[in-house]
Amino acid sequence: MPPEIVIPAIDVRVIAPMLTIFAWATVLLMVDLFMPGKDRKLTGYLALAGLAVTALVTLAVQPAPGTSRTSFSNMVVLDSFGTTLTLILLLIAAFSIAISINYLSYHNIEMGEYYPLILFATGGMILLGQSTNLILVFLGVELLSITLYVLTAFFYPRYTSEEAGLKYLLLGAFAAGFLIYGIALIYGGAGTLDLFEIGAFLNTSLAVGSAFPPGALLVLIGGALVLIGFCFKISLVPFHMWTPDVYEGSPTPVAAFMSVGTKGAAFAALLRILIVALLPFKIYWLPVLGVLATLTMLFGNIAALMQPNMKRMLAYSSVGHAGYITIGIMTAGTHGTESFLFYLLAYALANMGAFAVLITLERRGEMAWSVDDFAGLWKRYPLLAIAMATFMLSLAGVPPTAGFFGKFFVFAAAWEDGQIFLVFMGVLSSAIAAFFYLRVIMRMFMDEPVREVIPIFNRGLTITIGIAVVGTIVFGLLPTPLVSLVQNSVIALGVGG
Amino acid sequence: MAQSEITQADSQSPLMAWAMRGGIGWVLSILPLSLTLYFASLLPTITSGTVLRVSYTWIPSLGVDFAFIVDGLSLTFVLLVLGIGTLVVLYAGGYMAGDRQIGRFYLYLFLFMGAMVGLVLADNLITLFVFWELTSISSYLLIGYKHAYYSSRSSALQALLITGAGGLALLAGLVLLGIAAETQTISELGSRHELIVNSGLYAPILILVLIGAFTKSAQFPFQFWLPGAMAAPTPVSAYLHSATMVKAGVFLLARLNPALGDTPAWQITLTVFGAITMALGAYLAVSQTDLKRILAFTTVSSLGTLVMLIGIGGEHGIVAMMVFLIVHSLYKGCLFMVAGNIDHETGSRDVSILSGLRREMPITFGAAALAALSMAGLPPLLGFVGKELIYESTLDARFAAAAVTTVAVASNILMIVAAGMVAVRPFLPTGTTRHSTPRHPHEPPISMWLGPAVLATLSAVFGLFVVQVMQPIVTQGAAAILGEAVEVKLKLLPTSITGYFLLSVLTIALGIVSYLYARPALMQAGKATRGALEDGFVNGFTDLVNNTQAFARWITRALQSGYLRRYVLITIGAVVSVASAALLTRADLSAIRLFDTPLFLWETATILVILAGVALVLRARSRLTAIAGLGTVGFGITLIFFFFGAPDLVMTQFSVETLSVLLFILILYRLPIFTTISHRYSRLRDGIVAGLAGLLMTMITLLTIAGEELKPLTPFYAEASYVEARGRNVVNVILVDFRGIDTMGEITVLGIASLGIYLLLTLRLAPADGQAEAEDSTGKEQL
Repeated sequence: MPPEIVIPAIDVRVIAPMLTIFAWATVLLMVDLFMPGKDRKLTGYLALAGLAVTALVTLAVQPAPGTSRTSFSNMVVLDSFGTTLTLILLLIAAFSIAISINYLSYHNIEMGEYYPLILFATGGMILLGQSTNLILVFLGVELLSITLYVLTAFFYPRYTSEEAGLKYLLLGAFAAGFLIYGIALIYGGAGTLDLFEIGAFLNTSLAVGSAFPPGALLVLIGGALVLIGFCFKISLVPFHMWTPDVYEGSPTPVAAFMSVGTKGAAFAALLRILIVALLPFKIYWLPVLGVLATLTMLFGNIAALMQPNMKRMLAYSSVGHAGYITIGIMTAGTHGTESFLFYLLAYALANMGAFAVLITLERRGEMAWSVDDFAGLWKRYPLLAIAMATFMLSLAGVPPTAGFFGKFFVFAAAWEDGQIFLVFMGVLSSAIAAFFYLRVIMRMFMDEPVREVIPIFNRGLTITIGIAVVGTIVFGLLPTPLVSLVQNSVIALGVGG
Repeated sequence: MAQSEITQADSQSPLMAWAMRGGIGWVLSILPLSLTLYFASLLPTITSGTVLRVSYTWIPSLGVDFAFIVDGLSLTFVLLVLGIGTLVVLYAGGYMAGDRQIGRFYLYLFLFMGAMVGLVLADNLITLFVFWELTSISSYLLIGYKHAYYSSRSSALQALLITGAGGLALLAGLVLLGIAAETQTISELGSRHELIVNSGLYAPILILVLIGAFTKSAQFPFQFWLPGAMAAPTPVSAYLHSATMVKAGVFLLARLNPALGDTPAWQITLTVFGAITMALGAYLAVSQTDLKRILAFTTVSSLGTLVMLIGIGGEHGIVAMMVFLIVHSLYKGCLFMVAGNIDHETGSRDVSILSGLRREMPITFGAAALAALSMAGLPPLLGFVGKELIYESTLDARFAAAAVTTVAVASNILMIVAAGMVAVRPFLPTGTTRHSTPRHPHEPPISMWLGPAVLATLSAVFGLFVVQVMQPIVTQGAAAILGEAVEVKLKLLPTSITGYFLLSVLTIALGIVSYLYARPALMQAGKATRGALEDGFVNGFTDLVNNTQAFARWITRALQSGYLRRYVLITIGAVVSVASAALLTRADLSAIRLFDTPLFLWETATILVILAGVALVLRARSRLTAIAGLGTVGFGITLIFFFFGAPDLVMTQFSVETLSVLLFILILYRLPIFTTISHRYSRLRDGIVAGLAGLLMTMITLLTIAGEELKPLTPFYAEASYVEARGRNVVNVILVDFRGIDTMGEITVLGIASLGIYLLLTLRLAPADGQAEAEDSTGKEQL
């Protein structure tokens, strides 16, 4: 009697976006190998095309609002939250590639595998946003991390880049250790890696008696370790220490990509884990995340105060922003989740734009990125100065920019959730943050140029900066369409308050 | 470079030259003028009691609308903003003539004007906040306009930090207010007064809104930024820092009076802080010598008066506030422009050297004299009406009427002294020898004296026709602030001798006496206390900013050393605290059984060997020893696996250990010389952290095996192997059946890896360069 082999029905639509981008990246790697000449711009354009195709596929398979599809034994889910996030991630990746195409050749680090690596990392991020199983979460984290280790050290033979790559690798491996150990403990406790089943297990096991069952205890400890693993990826204080060093050392477009893409995807996965699997433990993770978010907002912004190096300043600012996003996912009742998506997009636009402006001023062979280079920019390149000012204002959360509404949504959601202390700390740290963002504006508009820096413009940079400025202002003036988009996305996540 | 050449070429054309000489002011003032006329045409509608509203949906999901309201209060403010704005635009054309960047100046100025109009017309809390922030930003740009000067930049930043921080507090307050009142529409707040006051959020709302208003309107203890803001060009001081923007805080309090007012907390706070500001401002004003600083401190004092009047409240207080608001805007705008004219013509603003300008600048003098009389509160100017109303309301105050009245009288006496210093001293001959000024004065061009003259005249006209001009709009303004219809009767001169009339007479008499005889004493006193009352606040604030920066530097250095070992240490420390928090709160540690099975000799021996290996690693003086120690630990663990019957684990562990020891030895030669670089104490600290982490992991492991619910998987595999997969070797079955796809994946990965290794081995890319660089870089790593 041979046993019957049952192959579960596979709904390819669920993984269609990932499938597209991975296939494209693999083929691109091959195509690049056989491409003649040293010029790798075509690879970049093909990668952009791949992102566009992936976006089209994502739009084609996106489920009706409020519905979702699962496949692969419920390991992957396709819902509006996932597709919205995918589209944001694709936009981020497209920006990163657009600002890279001329950057790589200008700095003599033009190598074709750069672009497939970005695509692979993006695929990993999409996977993170869609997975409902801890093993897939781990897969996604590693996929994006390993590609980023390579990308960080891409600025060969610059020492800082290599140092950054090594630091990132070692600390990342460390974090992966926590993550996988935590996942193992959760499996040991709950007997499953499915997020929904973990949630169900906790609900039944906690409902039985007053004593804390050992299985739930293992899930609790495992959850703490998983949380720590994620804290690395989203660089919450005190797990943020790699961030400034790595951003400073890595090629600027990679830093831009990491600062928004990695964070967004990791936050999305963490959101699902916390809300779907560990919701019964909210009383435990809420205070922990609260403390971490507070530390992050305060430290990130205080450390950014005195940074004369723009790249490091943006790194610390991204640490600070991780704190605000954490508030969004902590209060992930319906409003927290939508505030997370809104904040992510607003932050992505402004941060990408700021990094793009930084690239226009970055000179071959220099590693200064000094704020001094922005002095008097208004007099020489008024449009560039206005663009940078827009990004700084949005990052500072000043109306009428998208960043203002991002903060507003996050704080409003936190307030509704009763997190008054967090709102207070958030507002306080925003006040600190305003100081250094405005200082950049002041240098641009009020100072005399310290030295002559001639910005380098090219199509990719101009388009990226243009879209980022327009998006930042339009979403600041008319946030309604975006708000309804993210609201629709959240319904499908199946989160009740 | 190219831009300035163009400007130079253009300025030679007649039109451009005319524009540079100040003609641009005339052209640009058409815009605010026509807007003023438009809003003035609404006067009959509004004074008849109608309220106009427009609203556009902005963000419906948050209840935020682009909503505007025209009532008595907002119309008064709009007319002041636009009317004085027209004169300031005109004035700036003359004052800034020849400034190449005048385009930028006007850009900021109009930005501010638009923001201010939006602010006072807003009928939605968030809309109001957006415009509020815009006024802060444009004020910052205008104060820092002369950006070549350090003082301009630092004053601009100081003002921005204070009003910006206040703005954040205000945002929080307004959001809370919206939550408490369940509406964001300002004109609906009044009807929900009870709801707001009893919501439990009242106290935070009040504190936050007051911080916002007090920072903006330079109330004690935030008053110090306003004199600093005098670094701005004089048209800006006249416009933003006396007539309009600084009144935004007062406006906000008036606007929210129906929603938040009428409670003891509101009344006491506003009255006390207003009175302190009023007295402090007046006291510091008379010890100044710089014309603009005198005016700045009197502005602080007047703002205090306005806040105090809102605090006193009631019909008297609010009517007095409305009238004094107009009074102050008219005379202060005028006096600032006069100060600008003096500065422009003589090159000095120091009252101790200016004198006898009456002859050279007769029109300016006339305007200054009228405005000063209004400031001093003499009939028949509007200032007199204002002063009468102030005394009437302070005498009528619901608490501490005597104290408040005394403070008001004292402040007004000092204001008369200040008025004399600004408008009398520079113009009349002082008897002593006349000091020479940097420039020889003339009457300035018409664009520069028209503004002061118009404002001064209005002070007189409004005073004379107070019933016809002022009464209707003040009635509607007071109605808007009080949230109910009121009947207001204004009169220029009292019909009978009242207490407040006598106070007015007393004030004027004492004021004139003080101006003539007590000025040196006041000056002396002011100078003696300047350190505490004037510079103290500025220094305190500067210290705060500097300390924050020093703190930022310190904490960054402490946490961000750049050393990977430090990062790892902090990380492990944090992990230990987070995970042990989870463990200690919930774990049943009694479930841990340390010795439930007997320990055999060889097990004990192996563990001792492992411990010896650890000790060896810790004490090692060379890398080779350390690696040997680590290897001992690893192989010891392999042995333990062996004792407990896990042959597959033994194989894996054995190969991994062997491989890593070999790899270590291979790269040993590439590493720099092994030295102990850490201090004994830092090693101790590292040891403690490491020990705690080990303890934590041990606890977790023990807890894992202590759980009785957790059934091992072995029986499942043992049973299912033969039944389902027909295999007698369980390990084999697991590898090729239960984890079949896993194994296939592993094989694939191994295949790809060996392919890669093969390719690498055959490629042989020029090794010399790569190695040299690699060696260079290792030396510089800071790991």
